[in-house]
Amino acid sequence: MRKTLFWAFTLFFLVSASQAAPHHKPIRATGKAVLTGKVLVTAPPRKPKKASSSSYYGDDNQPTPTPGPQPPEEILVYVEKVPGKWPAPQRPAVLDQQGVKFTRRILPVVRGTVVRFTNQDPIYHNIFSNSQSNRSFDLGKKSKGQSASVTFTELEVPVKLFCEIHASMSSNILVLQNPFFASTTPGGAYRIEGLPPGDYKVVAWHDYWEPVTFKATVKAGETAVHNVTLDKVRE
Amino acid sequence: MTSTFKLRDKLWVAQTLLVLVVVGGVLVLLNARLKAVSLQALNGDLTNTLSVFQNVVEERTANLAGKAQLVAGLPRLTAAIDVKRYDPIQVSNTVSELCLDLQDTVRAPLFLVVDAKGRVLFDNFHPPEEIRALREGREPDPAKVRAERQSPLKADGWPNIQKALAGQPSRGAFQYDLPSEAAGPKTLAFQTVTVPITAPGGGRILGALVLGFALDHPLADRLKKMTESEVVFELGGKVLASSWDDAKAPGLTGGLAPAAVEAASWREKNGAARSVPVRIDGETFLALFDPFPDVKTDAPGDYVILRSLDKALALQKTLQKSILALGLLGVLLAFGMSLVFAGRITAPLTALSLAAEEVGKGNLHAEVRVEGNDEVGLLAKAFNSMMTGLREKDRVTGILGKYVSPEVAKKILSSEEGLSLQGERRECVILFSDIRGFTAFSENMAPEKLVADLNEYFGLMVETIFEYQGTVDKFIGDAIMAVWGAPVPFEDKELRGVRCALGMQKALIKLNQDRLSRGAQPLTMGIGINVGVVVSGNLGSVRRVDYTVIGEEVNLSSRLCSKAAPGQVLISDAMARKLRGLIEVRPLEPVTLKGFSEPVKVYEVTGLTA
Repeated sequence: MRKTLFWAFTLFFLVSASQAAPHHKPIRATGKAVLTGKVLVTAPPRKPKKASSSSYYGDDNQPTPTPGPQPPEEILVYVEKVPGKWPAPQRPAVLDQQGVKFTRRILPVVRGTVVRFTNQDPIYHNIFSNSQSNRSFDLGKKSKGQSASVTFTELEVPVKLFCEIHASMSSNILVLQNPFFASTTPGGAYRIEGLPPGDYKVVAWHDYWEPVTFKATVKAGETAVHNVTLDKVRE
Repeated sequence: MTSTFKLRDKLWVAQTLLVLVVVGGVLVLLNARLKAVSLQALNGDLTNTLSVFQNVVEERTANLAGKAQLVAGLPRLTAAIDVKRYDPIQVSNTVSELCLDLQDTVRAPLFLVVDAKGRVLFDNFHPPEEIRALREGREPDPAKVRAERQSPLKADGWPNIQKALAGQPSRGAFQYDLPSEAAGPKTLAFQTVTVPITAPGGGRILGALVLGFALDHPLADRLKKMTESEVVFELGGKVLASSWDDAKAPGLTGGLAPAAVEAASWREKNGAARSVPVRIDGETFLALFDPFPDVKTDAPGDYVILRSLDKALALQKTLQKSILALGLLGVLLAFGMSLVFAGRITAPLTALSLAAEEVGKGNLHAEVRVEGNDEVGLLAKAFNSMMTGLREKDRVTGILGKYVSPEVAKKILSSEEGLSLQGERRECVILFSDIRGFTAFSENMAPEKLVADLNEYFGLMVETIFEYQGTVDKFIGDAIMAVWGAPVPFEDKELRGVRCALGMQKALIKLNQDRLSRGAQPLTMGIGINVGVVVSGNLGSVRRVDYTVIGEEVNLSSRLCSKAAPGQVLISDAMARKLRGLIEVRPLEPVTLKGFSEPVKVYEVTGLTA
């Protein structure tokens, strides 16, 4: 299980690395600002999913194994609105099901992005969403290797994804207006580059903790540092 | 038949035997009753234990059934099975993954999911290799995956699955073979619940779910702790698990198998369960069999509750020992008491028999002590009064013997009509003897010597008188008075008297020879005899009475004696007349006697007629 988690996170980091440097739009180095800082979580941590018992044979008497330390949660920091048009990338975003998990818990996409779902597990998975702004969908059961794509055309935070079979599986697709977003590193740091100067509303978002919105003013060629604290669990 | 045992021995043996029989009887009865009570209690315990056991199993089964209903109704589960393009391997993987997740909360030792075709989709003992690999974060072993796909598990032949696929839930036990890599026994038994898995809404049956808890040693042990009874799960005579260590299983199987058959046949015949004795490794148990059919194979199986009969009867055994000890004590007490008692009864009897022996030896003074008023006491009393009677008779005989010869005395005592000692007239012969020159003889003699000489003389004379059955009437100084005809009448009293007189003279001659040889002076004696009617009877006062005769004829006899010369026997005319022809006499000159006015005719006896 832990190994599965490890793989999931490795994948997540790979994906987030590719997202951190948006490839579709080269940003000019001059006149652009950087927003950086740390997201601190003082609210109680999310309860880890109960670790599966080590034995396949159900035994009333076996104590539940206590889970080990969990890797830090990925928190998404995004700028709410940046003036201008921000087209979606050509290549589809990837959200797989692997190890009875979505490969990403939070997937930020620019409006109009195609998200490709692929089942990597040797078991059936299903993806459905009760999306409000976008069309809600149910992709049906997919066996190993089967894929399906969905285009997210409307701004929506978040589009919640579930698997009909596996209650523990869920993911959040954040359909955003612009590509100025970044996930926190394991240390909690974020860094948004190439931001046009201006006053922005910035959101530190997580599906478990109450998101925090803060105002940030960035000036050309400067680096603005904003630290945020998430101190409440969502109700 | 005469017994050589003494009465005392017979008595105590009888008493001891009686106590033995009573104690033995009580022991046997008590023992039987105790055993019955112990058995009853044991059977009650068994029944109670069985109901506790059934409750526990029922509760667990109900709990399991609730879980099964929940799991079977989980949309996730139905979603995993209800797939349009049904790929059994994918479905099995999906269901297995799901069920392994569920197992964290369900925690059923047996967890099976079967699809509508009877294929086993999930088996907690055989999760698919792919899922194991997925959960363990490794690549699946292709060989294992291949092997799994080549020999899928099928449950379509199981009655419980068939029922569930027909929409009918069921409960029951069955054995399940574990995968070869699993540790512990290869076959486990489970109490199971089987429910159908139906598609939501539609009611279409997608498969079946089996949940079970193990009928294993820990469960048996837990039940044992609750009920203090041994618990065995048995199937077809084979022990699946028990509250004993597994080491005991062979002995258990050997003891249980025939009992299971017996219990089953009894149940079939009578429709009710009955406890059956089972011998396991030298200990006897009472076993109650509660059948559970194997829902998978319909093989007969039993929950067996056992309680040690030996332990249950331990109390009885202890009591038995106490009773036995008490009984022995009782017997010993009875033995001692009967010894004393028998002694008390027989001691007077022994004393009596000793006294009787003494009497036999002639001791009439033998007496026994009288104790109590019982029969023995009465007997002793009777013996004593008999002795008093005997002594009285002896005394009378003794007194008589001084006057009459023993024969006369006997005659007197044995005469039926009794002899009248009242005053009456009767004809008697009266003899007087007298020592001549007694005064001179006694003058220079020591009194002791005189009395001794006299007694010697009297003894000899009295003996002679008794020889002729005369009655010694009295001694008057050195004179003797003897009578024939009173109280015993004799036809030949005259002849007896004369012969006696001659005998006395003869005896005196003999005595004198003796005396002369001793150097003592010889004695001479004169004898006078008369016959005539006299008055006989008891004379005297209340204090002292003598039977005697009185009258003129007595006086005549005395006078005749006084006239007799030494060695002479004088008789009266009346005597001479009566004895004419029988004796030889020599008539003497008539003599004048004191008190007689006329001279009296006197004859000297010279001898008997030849």
